[in-house]
Amino acid sequence: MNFFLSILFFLIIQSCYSQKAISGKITDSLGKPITSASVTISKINSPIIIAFSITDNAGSYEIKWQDDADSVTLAVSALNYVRMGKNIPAVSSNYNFTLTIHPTVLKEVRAKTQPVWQRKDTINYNVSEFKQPQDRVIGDIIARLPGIEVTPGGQIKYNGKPINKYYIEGLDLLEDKYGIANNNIPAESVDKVQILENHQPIRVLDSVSFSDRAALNIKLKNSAKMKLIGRARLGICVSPLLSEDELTGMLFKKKIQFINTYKYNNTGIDNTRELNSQNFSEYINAIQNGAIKNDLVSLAQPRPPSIAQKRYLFNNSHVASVNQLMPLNSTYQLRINAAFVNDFQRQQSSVVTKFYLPTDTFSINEKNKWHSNLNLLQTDLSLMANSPKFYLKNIFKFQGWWSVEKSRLITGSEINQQLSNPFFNVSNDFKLIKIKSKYIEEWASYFGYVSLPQRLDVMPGLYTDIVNNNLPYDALIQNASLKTFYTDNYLSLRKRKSKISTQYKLGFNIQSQHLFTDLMTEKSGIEQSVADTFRNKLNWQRYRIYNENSWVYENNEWRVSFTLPLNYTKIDYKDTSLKVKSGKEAFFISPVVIIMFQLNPKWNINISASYNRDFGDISGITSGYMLKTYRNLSNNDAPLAETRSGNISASLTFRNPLKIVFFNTGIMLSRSKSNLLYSQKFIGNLETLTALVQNNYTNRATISGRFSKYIIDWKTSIGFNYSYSFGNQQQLQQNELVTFSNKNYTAGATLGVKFSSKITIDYSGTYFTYLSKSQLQQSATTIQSASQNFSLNYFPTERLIFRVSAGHYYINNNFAPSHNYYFADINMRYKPKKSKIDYELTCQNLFNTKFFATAFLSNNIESVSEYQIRPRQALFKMSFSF
Amino acid sequence: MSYIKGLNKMKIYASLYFLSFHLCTINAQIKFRDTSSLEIFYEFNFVPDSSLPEIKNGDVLVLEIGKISSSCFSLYNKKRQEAFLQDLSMQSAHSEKIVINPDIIKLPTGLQQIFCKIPDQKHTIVFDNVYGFQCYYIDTLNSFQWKIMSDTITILGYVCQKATANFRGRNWIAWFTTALPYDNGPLKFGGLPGLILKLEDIKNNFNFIATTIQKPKETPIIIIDKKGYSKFKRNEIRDMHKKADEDPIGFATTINPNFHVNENPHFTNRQKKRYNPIELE
Repeated sequence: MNFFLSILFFLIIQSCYSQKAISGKITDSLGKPITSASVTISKINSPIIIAFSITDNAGSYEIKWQDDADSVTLAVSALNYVRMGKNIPAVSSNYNFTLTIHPTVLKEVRAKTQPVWQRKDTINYNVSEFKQPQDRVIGDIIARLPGIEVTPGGQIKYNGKPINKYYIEGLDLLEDKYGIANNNIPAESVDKVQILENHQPIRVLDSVSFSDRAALNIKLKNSAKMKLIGRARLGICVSPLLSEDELTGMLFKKKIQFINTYKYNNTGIDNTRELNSQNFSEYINAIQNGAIKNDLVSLAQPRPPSIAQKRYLFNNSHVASVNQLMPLNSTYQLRINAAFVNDFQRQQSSVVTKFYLPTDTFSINEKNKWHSNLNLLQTDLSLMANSPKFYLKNIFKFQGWWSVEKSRLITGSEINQQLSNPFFNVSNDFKLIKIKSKYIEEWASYFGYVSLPQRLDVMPGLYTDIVNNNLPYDALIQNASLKTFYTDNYLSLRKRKSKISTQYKLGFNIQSQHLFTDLMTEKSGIEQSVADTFRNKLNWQRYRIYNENSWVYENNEWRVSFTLPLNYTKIDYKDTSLKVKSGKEAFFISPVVIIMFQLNPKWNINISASYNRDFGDISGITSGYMLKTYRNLSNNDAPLAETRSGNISASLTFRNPLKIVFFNTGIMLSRSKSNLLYSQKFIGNLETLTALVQNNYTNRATISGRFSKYIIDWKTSIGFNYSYSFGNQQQLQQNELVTFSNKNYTAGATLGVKFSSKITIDYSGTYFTYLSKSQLQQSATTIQSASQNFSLNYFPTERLIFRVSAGHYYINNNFAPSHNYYFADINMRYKPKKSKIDYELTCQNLFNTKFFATAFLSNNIESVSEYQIRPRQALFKMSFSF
Repeated sequence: MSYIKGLNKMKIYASLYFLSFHLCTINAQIKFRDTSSLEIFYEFNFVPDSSLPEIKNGDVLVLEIGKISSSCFSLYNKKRQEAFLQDLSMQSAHSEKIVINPDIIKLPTGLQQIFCKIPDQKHTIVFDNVYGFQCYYIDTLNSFQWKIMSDTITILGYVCQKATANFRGRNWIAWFTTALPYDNGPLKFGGLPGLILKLEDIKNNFNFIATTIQKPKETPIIIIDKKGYSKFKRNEIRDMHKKADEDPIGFATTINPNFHVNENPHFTNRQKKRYNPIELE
């Protein structure tokens, strides 16, 4: 019944409003179809549309409508064509149109103020919108801006990539040490934080080289631009008497910008971290040229423990920095960055070291009271030109370390040591970039001078049988001085545009070194050289011509990159005291291949392989003995070392965001060959290392992986990780060739639970086992350690933050009882409403744990080091801006 | 010594993880370049939490229309489609951790998605970023059943006519102008005989109004590049959002175990993201 009724109803409707259909094709004057043209039906003399159609790829349209009018207006409009319209009878029919080209002129309209956006991809963040009550410095806000992350080391990333510049009012005051600004500019003084996306800091390259990095610019409030602004912080603790103070003054004018800071603390905070460069490539360059501080002699200090530095750093540190920038004219800028550090540190430790030798096992006990006094000055003077025609940058650097370390060591008897280990480096770095029609030309020249005049004094006079014909004497002195001159120059050409990106680089590098070492004895103030066999006087020249080519190929699933560095190296060295001359030359190829393959959105594979060959450095040709620490005497009476190493790695990753699961596992194999083997001998406590010519291999394999899963119902994420690695290495011990095989296992778990938006907890635990065994041993030597960390965060209100954290550490080894260590900290922060001051209370080491031990095992050496820990301390801090 | 070497290798291995994180995001490198001939800015107001309709957040959307494509995105959340791997710099290869900031998640950041319409292929490609996981899906272009109404209003001096449609669970009112012959509009919306200058749903949870229409001066380029994004189905990505919004940090750190939440205590607040999707079905 219903069915018939609806049929009837339908027929009635049909008779009143019969459906009409018009179809057709829209073409241009050449007969080509016009797509996305709109065809409309409207009542005659009315702009009101009744029905419409959009043309498809063939330019066809079809409009259906129901209406009682006899005739309607059919109109066609398309972008950049003349609009056409005609009145037609309202019956189903077919109409084709041919449109004539006519650029559509659109009026530009702006309703309100221009949105905060420009074509060159600048995003402006109004600081006032993002500011939260607890924010103190601009870094607090920057860390919270959408798309920005800040790593624990202070590096700022935008969309996952490190920013390439940190400007203040458009000027680059701090280069990559921008931590100074980020941690000091008061949040209140900043008006806007701008992100300059795809920023090319080198203006010459602006039109040719696409940058996928962003820069950050700080725009200050007008009120902050003219006057001196700053921040101050005061932290006190009564028992023990501690203090943590900071003062920063800043000025940002058009003609001059500066940030000057002074920081003091004796609470265990390392303020030198913000002086660190965020640029890693510069650091690698310095390593290759020998321009970093690498001491020739040292006090036998245990390696740092495996807990946070703030727990064991007993310091008294002053850090002052001056950063000033002056634009000379529209193109050139002059900049000075200088920092001075004075730090007095002390540490007490006791170390037990066991040596497993083919014939016996013996151990050394050392109780060490150590302190150091460091004065460090570093200055950079830069001249920069950044114009659309060329880019020039010249940096002159000076770095000076004046440091003295002293140690009072009790190992059977008392040994007093004094180490003077200064370091000086002067360098100049020049870079010029120009654009040619087909390529980008980059000229670079880098040269510098490094001096390490170092000296170790050991009292009383040890090893009389070796160094003084069994006669007693007062002190043993090792003088060691290394002077290095280096220069690196290259021309690099990059293609301007290409699907396979290529880069060619041609350059030369010269390193000239002079090493002088002399072991001396002192008696009644008279210093005397021990013997020629304890002396080195070496001259070293290394010439290197290099050519680096790299290619990258990408398609839908693959990405293959291939780098082929070629170099010709020639080394001449001369022992001036022995009058022996020698040299080596070779042609090296060190290819690197990285292949990445995407199976599907969830699975992917990553494979890489590399091969490397190189000569050793000047430290490998010291034929005379050198006292490196009070109980290590070594020489290298062997030809220059030559190493070859190969690496292969592969990994597989699975990621399913629907099930919220992640899994990754991988393997890494490496094998290296060296032509020198080190022979270890003990004469009493004195360890002697001598290099011998004998090919030997080091092998290592590592398997590791990670799994994580989020359980939605429990609002909990769980994770597991594992790693297993094994390998072997050869060594000569008391004239016997021993192969050591090492194994280690690591297993870890993490847990994160969100109880509510106000309470969260996090847990992580790791268990670690290390085994070492030589073919002479019946069973392997083993050490185990474990650590667990727990933290709870509670946010009662927006202005109050409460955090409790606790840690448990466990170590077990063969010759000391196993130990457990517990730590706990509390942190509270509060900022009252409408107050410029905020308050913080931290309590560190609530359980007042006094010592902490770390175990260490490598081949035949096992050691347990116990360190003094900072006692319980409660610090009350206040900070404010002006 | 070998222990130290082992440690170094672990470090290298850790950076391998980092690399694989980037790799997972590589996908089809379908890339084309187009020149934008018109830019429309929309003021976008929305209710982030449907249970609290009185709280509104604002955003600015940009619609760039080119010859063969168009792209619509939020100003603040505009994501570059350039690949991560373009230059895996020294810095990134050596950082062992990727640190995300949970406060990014807390913020009213507006629209995450980028909508690219390609009329020739009858596609709207929706690029999305679910707390660090980059993905996309393909939707049919202009699958709207518009009903044309006779009401008119004037926006930015253009006479606009009303049209209504139900789209995936919400009833929408669009105001379009035939004076601008573009069958386009904000987000996926379009298919009318003129540009949509105003769009709202009848519950007024979402509201778009054009504030600026301009011709770009430097003929900018729209780059649509799927490289770095994984393909999923529309309902899969909806599901992902629903799960992730419950505990964004938990989601992000599970999917990318290299992500570490900043140790600063006020960064560890793990809030639930309010959920009010534009498409209910």
